Amino acid sequence: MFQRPLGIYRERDTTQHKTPPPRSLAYLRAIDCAEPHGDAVWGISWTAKDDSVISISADGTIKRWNSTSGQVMRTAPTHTLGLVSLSVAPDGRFALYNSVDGTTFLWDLEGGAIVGKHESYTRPGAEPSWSVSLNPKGRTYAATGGDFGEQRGILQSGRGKFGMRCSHSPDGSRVALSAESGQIVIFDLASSTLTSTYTSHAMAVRSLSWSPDSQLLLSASEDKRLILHDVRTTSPGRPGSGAVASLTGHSSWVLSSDISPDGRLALSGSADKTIKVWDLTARAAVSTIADTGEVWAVSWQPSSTAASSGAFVTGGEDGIVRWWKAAGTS
Amino acid sequence: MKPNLVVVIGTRVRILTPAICDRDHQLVPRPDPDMHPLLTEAPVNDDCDCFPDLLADEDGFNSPFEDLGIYLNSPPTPTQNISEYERDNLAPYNRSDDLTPLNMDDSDSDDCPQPHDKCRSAIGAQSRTGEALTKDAMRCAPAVGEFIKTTRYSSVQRIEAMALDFLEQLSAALPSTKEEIEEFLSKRPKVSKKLELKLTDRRKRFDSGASGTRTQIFPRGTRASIIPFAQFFRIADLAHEAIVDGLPTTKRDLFYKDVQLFKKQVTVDKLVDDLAATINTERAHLNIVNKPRSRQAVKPAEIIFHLKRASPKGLICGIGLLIHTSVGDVIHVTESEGTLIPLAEDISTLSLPNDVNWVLIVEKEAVFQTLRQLGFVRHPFSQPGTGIMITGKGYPDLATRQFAKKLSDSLPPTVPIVALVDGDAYGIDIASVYKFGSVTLRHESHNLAAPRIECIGIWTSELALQARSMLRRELPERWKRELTYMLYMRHKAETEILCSVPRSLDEPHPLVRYLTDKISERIRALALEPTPSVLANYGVDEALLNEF
Repeated sequence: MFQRPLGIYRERDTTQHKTPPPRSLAYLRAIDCAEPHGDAVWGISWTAKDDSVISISADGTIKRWNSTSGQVMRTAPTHTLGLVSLSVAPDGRFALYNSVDGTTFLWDLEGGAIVGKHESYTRPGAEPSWSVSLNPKGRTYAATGGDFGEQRGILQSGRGKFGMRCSHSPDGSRVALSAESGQIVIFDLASSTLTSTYTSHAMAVRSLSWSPDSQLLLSASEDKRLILHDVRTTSPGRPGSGAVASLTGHSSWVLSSDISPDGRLALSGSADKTIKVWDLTARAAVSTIADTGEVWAVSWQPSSTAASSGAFVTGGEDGIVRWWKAAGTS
Repeated sequence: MKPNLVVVIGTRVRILTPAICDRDHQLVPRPDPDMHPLLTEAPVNDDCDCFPDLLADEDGFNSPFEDLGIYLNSPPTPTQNISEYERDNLAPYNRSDDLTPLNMDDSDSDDCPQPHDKCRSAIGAQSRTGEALTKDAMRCAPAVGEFIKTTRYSSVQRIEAMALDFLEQLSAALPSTKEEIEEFLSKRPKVSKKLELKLTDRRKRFDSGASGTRTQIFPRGTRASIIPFAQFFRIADLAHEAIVDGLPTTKRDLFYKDVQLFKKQVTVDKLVDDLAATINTERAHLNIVNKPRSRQAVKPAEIIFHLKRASPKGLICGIGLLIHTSVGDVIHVTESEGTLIPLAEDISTLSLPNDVNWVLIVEKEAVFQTLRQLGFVRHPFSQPGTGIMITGKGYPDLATRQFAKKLSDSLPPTVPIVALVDGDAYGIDIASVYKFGSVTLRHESHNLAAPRIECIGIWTSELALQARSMLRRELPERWKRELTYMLYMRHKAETEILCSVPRSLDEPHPLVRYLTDKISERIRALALEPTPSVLANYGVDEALLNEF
């Protein structure tokens, strides 16, 4: 099922340049899922295990897909309410997902059963969870809620701020949390302290992604930009500090982001119905792909054999999980 | 060399040129040293007849300013002395028929239907001239007419004082001695003195409450720096004319009188407000209104009756509320539909029901309509009674703010006045406009600000919690989906969202529930302990209260 190439692929001689100039890459639609979700796909994750993809939807379903065939491998029991947050362990054994009312589930992907369920709205005095993130190393998870709190030990870092997204760093040492006000804070798990605050965005930060070496943090915000933060340096909460690059080009909210496993490309989905692939060294977009609706979730394939481009999967407003591959690869 | 200056002074201006007159002119001392310098009373030296000297030349009118192109509309005849001149100038106000109220015989104040203490208190409540005159003041003839005359008179006086001040500076800057004249006419004249125009800066305010001033200076750089002066004095002239002739004019008219000079409507708007602030009056007292009903010559007394009916914006909803307008209409405020709030000047009496328990000011009209349809004004809360709902439809206009202020001043301290605004910057700004006044009309904020108002914005966190708790209940699928989407989209906290959330008919509307909680909390709090700001507004001394 071949589509027209959506970008222009040009050969360039990169030997004379110090940094490779931004290339253009082409991506093609590889396959669509066999049975779409009944509602928008709000979270997606390409797992390392079996090369399968987990997706959650506003209709309350969570499905596990075979990336080659696009068929559903497994589903968990449908929840009555939409699912808003998904976090999959790097080894692909567990998937943690949260629904809009704050019920959090832990799904054992090997066994296939729900092994944990937490009704966070019953916590006295605290808000129900919104975004959840599994710790890659251990059996803990972080969750944001109305109070921008954390599951293990309440971290009251915001006064009435709504915590939109939280994400563990790949090395499991830190958690990044973003608020509806645009603030991003980094929480160090070992010392249980806030190490940095970034105020590079003034509007809600909808997505956070770490680079594989845990040194860069990419934030996607409603202000139509993605900002790359260098989180190695500790910086006071001055606006703009820590931000090393700003990726502009989207014409509406940037809803989702992901950094490729080799750390060179970034992927973003936006409410302007496009997906953009960015070259992080050149800090520019190398590909823009039009989709049919708002792109709520994007995820790179975990391991990529190709040197500079890989495959990724997206989920959007239409409820269809789509796999994309780079032109020239099979 | 002619400076590029054209100043059109009002029809009747006294010109005092110290250079010509050798009398000793005593200015009336300023009552308050902190007052703006231009608020000084005009000189009242009746003995001076330098004015006729000035104009007594054979060729009629030969002012030293003529070369500069200063034109008087009509030169006064030389034989008058100052006091008569003054009388003629202000003749319109002296004529008693101007002060005859409608439907009334003239002059006998005992025929005035309003009890005099009411008239007087209306006047007495306003300690300074230039403040809003209530309708009551107009009904009573000459005694009050005096007051009106004084008010208008002082505006006229102040404009004239400004023009005089400017002319004095001008004359001081011009050469008078032979050497100076030679230098003036030489190839490279130097202007040693600068002309300054001090205006009230509406954006600056000192801690004492006095306003800052900003100064326009000529020359400053290019010769075009005279244009702000020309613009300002043109406005002053037109306002002067409007007051003296009794012809109300609008800002738009002012602009079209001299498009080339003003170039932009915004300039006119700003200058009018600057003039009003500098003279410390309201814009209406400069006879610059929004849309006068007719352009025929009307008597000054009638002007107030015909003042603006142009597009009031705010709506009010309540039970048993009556607004008596100045023209004699009675507006019944109902609970079934919103009524437009008229300007305070058009309101003669406001009769509130005894059992007003709460007042709610809403930012958005959609919310207002929703609450109105739900019959929210009938909500008794803790005790029997009803409430009043107002909306300014966004940023409130003058009428709405005046009305809110009126309510704030009149209602007892146990009645909470709350403002429901969105939890975003605009909402908070709107609440602050009601509460503290706006920047551009800061000089009138004593008329417009109501610090008693409390804000109960919809904050995002509360919204989310509410919506999420609703999700756990048994709701139809579609409704749950709507709520879920709303939460996921995380739009700025808008009260409309709570309004548009579908719910079953037997459940209380979430917005109603939210407001109920908030308002009853305020009622309880105020019943226990009225806040100091409320007390201050109401004029009750807290110490006295404690004694009881």
